[in-house]
Amino acid sequence: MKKVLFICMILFPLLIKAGGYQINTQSQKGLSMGGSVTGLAMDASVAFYNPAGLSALDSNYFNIGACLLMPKTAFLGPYGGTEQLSAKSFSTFYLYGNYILNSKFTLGLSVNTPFGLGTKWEDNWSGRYVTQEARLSTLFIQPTIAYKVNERFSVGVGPVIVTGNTKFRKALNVLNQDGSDGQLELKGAGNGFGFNAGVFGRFGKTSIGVSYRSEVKLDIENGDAVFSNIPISLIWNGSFPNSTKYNSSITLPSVISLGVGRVLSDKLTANIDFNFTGWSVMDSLVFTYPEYPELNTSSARKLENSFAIRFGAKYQYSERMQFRGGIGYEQSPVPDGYVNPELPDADKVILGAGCTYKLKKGWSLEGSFAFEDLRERKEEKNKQENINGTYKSYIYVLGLGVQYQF
Amino acid sequence: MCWGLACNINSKSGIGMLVALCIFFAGCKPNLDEPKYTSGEADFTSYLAIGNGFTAGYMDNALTLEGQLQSFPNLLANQFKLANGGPFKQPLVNAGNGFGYDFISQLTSGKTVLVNAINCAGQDDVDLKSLSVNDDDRKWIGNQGPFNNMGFAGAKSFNLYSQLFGKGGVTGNPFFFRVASDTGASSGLSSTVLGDAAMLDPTFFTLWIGGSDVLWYALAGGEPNGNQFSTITPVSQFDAAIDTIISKLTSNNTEGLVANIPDIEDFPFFSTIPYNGLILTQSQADSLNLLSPPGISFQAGANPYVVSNQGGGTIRQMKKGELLLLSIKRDSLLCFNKGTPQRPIESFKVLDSAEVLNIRNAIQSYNAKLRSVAIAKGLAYADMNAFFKSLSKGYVFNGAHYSSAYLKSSVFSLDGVHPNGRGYAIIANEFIRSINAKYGSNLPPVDVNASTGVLNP
Repeated sequence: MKKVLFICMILFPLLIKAGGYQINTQSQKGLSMGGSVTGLAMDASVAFYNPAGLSALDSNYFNIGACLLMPKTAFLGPYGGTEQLSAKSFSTFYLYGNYILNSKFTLGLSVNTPFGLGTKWEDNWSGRYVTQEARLSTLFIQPTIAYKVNERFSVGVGPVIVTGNTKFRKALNVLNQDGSDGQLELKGAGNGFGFNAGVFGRFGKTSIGVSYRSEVKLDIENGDAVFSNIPISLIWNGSFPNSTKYNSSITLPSVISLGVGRVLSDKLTANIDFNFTGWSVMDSLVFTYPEYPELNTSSARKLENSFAIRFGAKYQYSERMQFRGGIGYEQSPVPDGYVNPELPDADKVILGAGCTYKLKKGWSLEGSFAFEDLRERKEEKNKQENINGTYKSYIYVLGLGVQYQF
Repeated sequence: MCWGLACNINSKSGIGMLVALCIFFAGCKPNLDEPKYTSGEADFTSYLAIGNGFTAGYMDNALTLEGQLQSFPNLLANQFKLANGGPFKQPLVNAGNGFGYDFISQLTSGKTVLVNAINCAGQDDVDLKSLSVNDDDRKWIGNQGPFNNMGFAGAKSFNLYSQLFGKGGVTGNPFFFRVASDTGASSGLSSTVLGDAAMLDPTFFTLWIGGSDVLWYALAGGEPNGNQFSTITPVSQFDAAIDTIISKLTSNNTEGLVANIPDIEDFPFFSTIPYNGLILTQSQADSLNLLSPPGISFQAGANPYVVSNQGGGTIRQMKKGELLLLSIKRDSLLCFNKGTPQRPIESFKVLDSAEVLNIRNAIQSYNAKLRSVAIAKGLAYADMNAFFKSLSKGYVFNGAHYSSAYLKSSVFSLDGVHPNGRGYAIIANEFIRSINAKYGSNLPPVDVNASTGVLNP
C-alpha cells in the first residue's frame, strides 16, 4: 500500500490556473482531470463546479484539501539578461460538503479560492517601477441547494459571498541622493457578492452539466497605501505622503461552463468541458487616493473574454484505487500590448494527474499534480508601461485532500 | 535543461514516475535564450565619439566620473561589444565633484546638487548648490590617449580642427586642454580634436556637434556684447566646418552616425520660467497699474513679466514665444517683485522674439546641413530635434514616467541643458535604433532605469 500511495502522490492529477488570475485548484478531482468536471458529479466539490450536480450524488461527502502553486517565470528584456520571478509559491484551500435532505433536495456548501495571484520579482529588477510584488487572494463561500426536477434533470443555485485581500508593491521613480528608489505598498481588503447556478442532466451513460458563476466585484475601500524611502523634500513640499488611504476595485469574471461526461466502461469515465470566462469586465486597474488625487493612477488592462477546453478521465484501477488524468488548453485573456509582469500570462496547456485511495470507514486520501506550460510570449509594444520583453512560465501545482463519504 | 537531464534516466517500468519526479523535484525553471547580436554592415572595432558636452557625458554643470560612465558613447560602446565592438577609452576624471561651468550661477565650479532649503516665502523648498572643484581633475592626461570619447563641453563645430582649442588659458577649452596629445607648451602648435581622434583609426563614429554653436548665444540672452564666443556661428562657417569634419572622418569610408541639434526651447533652461509667470490679485494689479508707464498694464491672474529693452532705459511686457533663462534668481521672482516695472528683468536674461528667431533659423540651417551630409555620405542620421520635441510630451520606460521639465522625474540634469544619466540612456537607445535601421545590426537597447536620474534630497 505504501508503494501505491507513493505512486499516487507522484502521478497525481491535473491542474491549475484558468487563464488570468483564475485558479483551477478547486478540488483534487478537478485538478487531476485538467479542470474537466462540469459534466460529472464525483463528490461534494460539484457544489462549486455545478450546483445542480449535487442532486446526482448518491451519498453525502465531505471534502477538504489544499494545493500549492509554484509559478516559475523567466523574463528576457530587450536589453538582454534573463530575470526570474523570485520564488513565490502560494497555496489555495477548499472545503466542500453535501447533505441529501430527501429525494428532491440536496444541500451543499462550497468554500474555496477560485481566483488568486502571486507574483514577486527581485526588488531591484528592471521592471521594478511596474511591479515588485502582486498578490490577490480570495475566499468564496457558497451555501447551495439543488432540486431534482425528475429522474433526468436537476437544478441548483447558491449565493456566493466573497472576501478578498490584495497587496501590490512597486518602486517609484523618485530617486534619493544615494540613487535609491521610492517605494509604494498597497494593501487592501474588500467584499463582494454573486451567485452560482447550474443544470444537470443524465441520459443513460451520458451526463451533461451547464453552470454559470456570476462575476463578483470586490470593492477595496480604505486600503493602506504606504510610501517609503521618499526623499524628504518631496514629503515636505506635499508631493507625497508617508501613508494615506486608497480605493480600488477588482472584478472577478463570470464563468460559463458546459461539460459532457460519459461512462465508457465499468472502470473508465471521461468528461469534456468548455469554459467561457468573461474577463472583459477587467478593463483597467484604478487606484484613487482621496487625500492625494494627484497620485491617482489608472492602468489599462483591456482583458478579453477567454475560452478553455478541457478533457479528463478517471479510471477505477481497483476497488480502492482510482487514477485520473486530464489535459486542458486555455486561452489567455491578456491581449498583445497589455502583457504585464504583474500577470505574465499566455495561452497554456495544462496536464494533470492524480488518484484517490480508499481507506477504511468512508475515508479516502487524494493527491494530484498538475503542470502548466505557458507559451513563450513576446511583448514588443506594451501600451501602458512600455515594458517589453519575452516571458516564459511554468506553473507546478501539488494538491492533497481528504474525503469522507457517509 | 532539466527535462532532458532527469528524463534521460530511462527505465521500462518507471519512466512515468521519473518524468513526474523530474517535474516535481527539479522544479525546472523556464529559460529564454538571448538573441545573437550582430553588427550588420557596421564595424564597431574602433568607435570614435566626437562632439560637445552631450558626447562627453557632461551633466549637473560639470564633467564628472559618473557622468562620463553614463555618457551615451560609453553606453553605445557597451552594446557594440555585444557584436564586434572593441575597447572604449574615456578621459576619465576622478570620482567626486568633477569640474565645469555653472550655467546658473555663471561661475566655474564642480557639479551641482540639490539641497533642502527654506525659500524666501518661508516654504520648504529645494535649492541648487555648487560643489567645489578638485584641481587634480584639470591636470593634463593627454599622454594617456588616444581616447575614444572626444566630446568636449563647449565645443563648437569649427573648434574641432582648431589648434587654439587645445591651448590652455583663456583661448582654449579646459576639457580638451587636459586631453590634447600636445597642448603646444613646447612646440607652440597644439593638437586638434580631429587630429588626435585620427590616432584611433576609427572604424565607426558618432558626430553630434552644433549645439554649442548656438547655446552660448542663448545663454548670453542673445547679447554677445563683443564676446566672440557668445555669437551664433554663421551658417556658412558651420557648413564649411561640417564639410571639413565629415571629409576627415569619412576619409577611409568610415561608417558612422550624424545627429542633429535639438531646439533650445526643448531644454528646461529656457522653458521652465514662463513668460507670463507674474501672478497677481486684482488689488496687486491695480496698484501696479497706477505706477506703470503707458503701454504696460496688469490684470488679475497671469501677467507677462516686465523686461528691460536691450540697451536699457525702456521697459516692456514680454510676448508669448519669448524665453526667460533659468539663471534668473527664483527668489527675486517669488518675493522681490522681479519682473514688475520697478524691477524689470535684465534684457540679457531674456531671449526676445528676434533672438529666438536667430537661434531657430541657425538650428534649422545646421540641421539641413547635417542631414544632407549624412545622406550624401550614406551615414546613419538621428533626428534628435524631433526626439527632444517628443520627450516634452513625456516618455515611459518600464513603468517609469519621464518628462523634459526641470527637476522631478526629468531626463535633464540640474544644469537644465544637459541630460542626466537616464536622459543619456534614452538618447543612446535612439542612436541604437538609428544605427540598427541603417546598418542592419540588431543591437539591443540599454536599460534606461539602470542609470541615474534627478537625485532629490
